[in-house]
Amino acid sequence: MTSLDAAPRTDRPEASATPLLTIEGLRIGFPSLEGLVLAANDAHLTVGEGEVLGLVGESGSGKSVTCRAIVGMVPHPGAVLGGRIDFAGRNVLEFSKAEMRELRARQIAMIFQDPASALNPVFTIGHQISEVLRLNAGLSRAEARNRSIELLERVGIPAPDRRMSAYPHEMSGGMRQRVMIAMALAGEPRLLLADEPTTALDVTIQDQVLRLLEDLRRERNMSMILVSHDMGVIGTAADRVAVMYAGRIVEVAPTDVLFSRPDHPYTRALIDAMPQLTPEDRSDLRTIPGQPPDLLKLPEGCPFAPRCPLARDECAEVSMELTAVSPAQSSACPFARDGS
Amino acid sequence: MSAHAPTGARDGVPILVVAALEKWFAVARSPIDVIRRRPRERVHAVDGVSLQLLPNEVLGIVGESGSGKSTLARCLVALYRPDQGTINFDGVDVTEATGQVRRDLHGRMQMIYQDPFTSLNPQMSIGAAIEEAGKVHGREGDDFVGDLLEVVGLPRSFARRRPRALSGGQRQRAAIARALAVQPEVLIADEAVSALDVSIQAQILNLFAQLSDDLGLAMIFIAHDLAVVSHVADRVAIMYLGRIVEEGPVESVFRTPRHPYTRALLDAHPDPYALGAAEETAAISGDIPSPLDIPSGCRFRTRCPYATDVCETDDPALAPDDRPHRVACHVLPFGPPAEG
Ligand SMILES: Nc1ncnc2c1ncn2[C@@H]1O[C@H](COP(=O)(O)OP(=O)(O)OP(=O)(O)O)[C@@H](O)[C@H]1O
Ligand SMILES: Nc1ncnc2c1ncn2[C@@H]1O[C@H](COP(=O)(O)OP(=O)(O)O)[C@@H](O)[C@H]1O
Ligand code: SF4
Ligand code: SF4
Ligand SMILES: [Mg+2]
Ligand SMILES: [Mg+2]
Repeated sequence: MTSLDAAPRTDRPEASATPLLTIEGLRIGFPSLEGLVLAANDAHLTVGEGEVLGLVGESGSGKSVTCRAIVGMVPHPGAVLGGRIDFAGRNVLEFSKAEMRELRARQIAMIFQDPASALNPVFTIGHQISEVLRLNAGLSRAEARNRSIELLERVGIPAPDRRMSAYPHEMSGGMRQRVMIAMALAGEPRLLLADEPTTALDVTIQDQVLRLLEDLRRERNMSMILVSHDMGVIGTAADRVAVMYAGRIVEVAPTDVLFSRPDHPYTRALIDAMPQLTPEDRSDLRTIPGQPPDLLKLPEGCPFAPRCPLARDECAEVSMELTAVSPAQSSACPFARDGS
Repeated sequence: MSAHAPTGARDGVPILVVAALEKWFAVARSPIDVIRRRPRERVHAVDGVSLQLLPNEVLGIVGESGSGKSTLARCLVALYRPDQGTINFDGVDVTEATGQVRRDLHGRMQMIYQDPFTSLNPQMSIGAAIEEAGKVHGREGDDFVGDLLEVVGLPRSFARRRPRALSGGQRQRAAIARALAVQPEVLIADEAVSALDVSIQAQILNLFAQLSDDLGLAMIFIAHDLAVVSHVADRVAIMYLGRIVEEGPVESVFRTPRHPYTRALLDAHPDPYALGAAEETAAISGDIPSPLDIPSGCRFRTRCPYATDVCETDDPALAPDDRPHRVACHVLPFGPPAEG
C-alpha cells in the first residue's frame, strides 16, 4: 500500500559527529491517585549540531513532557525521576534556577502548538518581542524596537513596523505562529524545541511555516527538535526521526531510512496507517488494532505487544534497549527482522 | 433500507440537489461602530454553492478552516436557514420544510461531528442512546443495539458503557452507531476523523468506506485533509471562501488538478514519498482573506500566482455543468478540464 519503492528525499545535511544534546535514560513521572504515570520511561535521544530531529508518536506517548524536561518545565505535579540531559557537555538536570533561566534565554528556545495561549492578549506583539530582547539580550528600548522589526521582517510578517502595534487577536493563526518564532529567535538559540508548531494551522500556512523553519535552521546552523503526531510533517521536515511509544523511544533512523526500511513493528504500523493522497486501494487502509496502553498498567517487556502482529511470548522479557539495525538506525524490537 | 420509500432514489437521479446556496452571518458591531453608524457587516460563510449527491455516492468536501464547510453542512440538515438558494432532498424543499416534513427530514439525514460528545449524551449509556434513536422506526431491544455496535466494530458489551468510559475512536464509533439507528439515507460527516490519532483514524476511515460499500449509504464527507478524503470519497469538491472552486471524481481532481488553489493544497500536503516536491513548487503566499471582505472578481486572486487583469473584475463560474470535472478559473494554467 505504501509506496516504499519511491525513495524519500535524500538531500539532507550530514549530522555532525558530536551531538549538541544527549538524553539518556530519562524518566518522568506524574503522581496520580491510581499510581505513578510514567510519561517518559528510559528515553534516549541525541540531536546533532544543525540537525532537525523529528519526534513522532501518538497522543500521550510523552513527546511534550520530554521536550519540556530539557528546559526544566515539566508541568506540575510531574518530576524528572532519573536519567541525564547533556546540553553542550553539561547535565542541565543539575542546573540552578539562574543557570536554567540563562539556558532558556540564550541557548534553548521553545515554541508551542497553540500560539494564542503563549502570547499575552493584553500587550501588543511589538511590546512582547521587545521585552524578550531587553531581558535576554540587554538591549535598550530603541535597540529592542529596531531589532524586533528586523525579526518580524525575517519571519515574513508584512509591514512589520506597522504590525508592532497589533494585538495577538488581530492576527491570524499563521501570523501568531510567526511571531512566536520571531520571539524564539530573539535569544539566538542553538536549539529550538518546536512542539507541534503547525498542528493548529491550515495546510498552506503549515507549508509556509515549515519552509521558514527550514530556512532559519540553514541560515543559523540551529538544531531543532520537531514534535509532531503527523508522519507526513515529520517525513518532509526532519533529518532524523525518533519514534516514541508509551514513554520510550522505540526506533531512531535517518528520515529516508525510516520511511523506506522501517524496522520496529510500531513504526511500520504508523507508516501503513497514513492515508495516501492517491492510494492504490482506497477502501482498505491498514490499521493498528487496539489503542495505546494505559501508562498505569504497562505490560512487562514490550509495551507494544498487545497490538503487535509479531508478538510472541519472549516479548514480555525484552529489555527495550535500542540496538543497531544498520549504522544509523536502531530499534527496540529484537524480533522485527526474524520472519520478514 | 429505509422505512421511507425514497421516490427518486434510483441510480443517476440525485437524492440531494443544492442550488446557488448562500448563508451569511451578521457580525456584532462594537458600540463605536453603532455610534459612527457604520453599516452592519456580513460574513458570507457560504457564497453560492451548487452541488448534487447521488444515492450510494460519497462526496468529499475539502477546504481550509473558515471556507464554509460546516455552515454548508448545517444548512443541509436544516440547522441553519439559508439566505439564498435551494436545497432539494428527494423531492422535498429542505429550506421551506416545516412541522412533520421537517422532523422527517431530520431522520433521513444524519450528522456526525468532530467531537462525538456533540451527539452523545454523557448521562446516557451507549445502548440507551442507540435505542432512543432507533425508536423512530420502532426498532429497539438488545439485538438491535448489539447488531449496530457490531456494524461499527464495537463489542456488544459496550451498550452498558457511558461515553466517558470510551476512547476517542470508540466514542466516534458509538456516535456513528447512534446515527445509523435512525436509518438515514444520507450521512453527513463533518471533520469526523480530524481529532483522531493516525492509527484510530485509519480504523474509522475504513468503517466509513465499509458503510458506503456494504450499506450503500450516500455520504457527504467533510475534511480539511485531502488524503483522508481520498480514502472515502468517490467525488470531491474543493471549497475556498464559501464557494466550490473545483469539483470532480477524486482520481481526476487529485491526479490532474485544474484550479491553482487545488494545486496549492496538493503541493502543501506533506508527503514524505513525494520526491523533492518541496523544492519544485513555490509555496502560495499570504493568508486566506477574511470572509468579511471577499476579494472582487476571483476570490483566490490575492494568493494566485497566475492572476491576470480579468481575475480582478470577473468572478469565474464553476462551469460547464455537464462535465464530470468542473473548475472555476479564467486562466486554467494547467490546461482545460478533461472531457468525459
Ligand atoms: N500535568 C499532568 N498531569 C498528569 N499527567 C500528565 C500531565 N501532563 C502529561 N501527563 C501524562 O503524560 C503522558 C505524556 O504526555 P505528553 O503531553 O508528553 O504527550 P504527547 O506525546 O505530547 O501527546 P500529544 O500528541 O497529545 O500532545 C500522558 O499519558 C499524559 O496523560
Ligand atoms: N454562527 C456564526 N456566526 C457568525 N459567523 C459564523 C458562524 N458560523 C460560521 N461563521 C463564519 O463563517 C465562516 C465559515 O465558517 P465554517 O462554516 O465554520 O467554516 P469551516 O467549517 O469550513 O471551517 C467563517 O468565517 C466563520 O467565522
Ligand atoms: S518486542 Fe515483540 S511485541 Fe514488541 S515490537 Fe517486537 S515483536 Fe512486537
Ligand atoms: S481565475 Fe485568475 S486568480 Fe482565479 S484561480 Fe484562475 S488564474 Fe487564479
Ligand atoms: Mg503534546
Ligand atoms: Mg468546520
